[in-house]
Amino acid sequence: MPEKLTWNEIKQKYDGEWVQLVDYDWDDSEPYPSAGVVSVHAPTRKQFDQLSKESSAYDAARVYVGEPKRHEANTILSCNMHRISLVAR
Amino acid sequence: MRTFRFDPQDDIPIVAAKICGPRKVKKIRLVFDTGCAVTQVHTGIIEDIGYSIADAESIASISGPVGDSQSGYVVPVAKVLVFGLNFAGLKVGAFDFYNFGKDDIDGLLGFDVIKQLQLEMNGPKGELRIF
Repeated sequence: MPEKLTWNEIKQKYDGEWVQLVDYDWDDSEPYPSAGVVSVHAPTRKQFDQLSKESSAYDAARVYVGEPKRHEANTILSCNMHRISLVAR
Repeated sequence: MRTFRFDPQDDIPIVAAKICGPRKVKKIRLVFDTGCAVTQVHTGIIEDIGYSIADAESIASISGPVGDSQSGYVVPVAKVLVFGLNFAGLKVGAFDFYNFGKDDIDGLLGFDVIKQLQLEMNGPKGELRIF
């Protein structure tokens, strides 16, 4: 079983990767976890999704580690202003 | 009253939430997005916790001001826990967030949830107070 790491240790070890944490400490009032055991990690969201789906962990946290792309120079992330059309099934 | 923190240095406010399905529970990060009518979560997470398009109430097509539309679906989720509150049966839009592969967001907490809250935001401090 891998050891439980602090969020700072996770950031140092898995920079630029998506990680799944089990046995995690994440206060509901905080935007980031404070610690956890990394059970799955991958450099892309697609690879990570696949590994996460294969994982048997019932309760897990997922988080991207590292500087988000939206923080790059000349990049702005705007989330709203979408129109959703629905067709009932 | 409870206080929830977001990073005041960040360009967008992101909060922690827990999403519970028939197979798994995931703690995720959602953009606090008053401009988004319906809460949306990355399809990979929706499917990981045990839903699929077979559970969808409706098929959805999403389009922005420019660019092609993207398809997804809307599924009632067993529980979404955020700000210490339980939103059971919340209808969540499942859409791929692969274009945001290197951004630390898993979806958008929409106005369908936010409008149910009495809240106060202190932007400089990065605090959301929920009453």
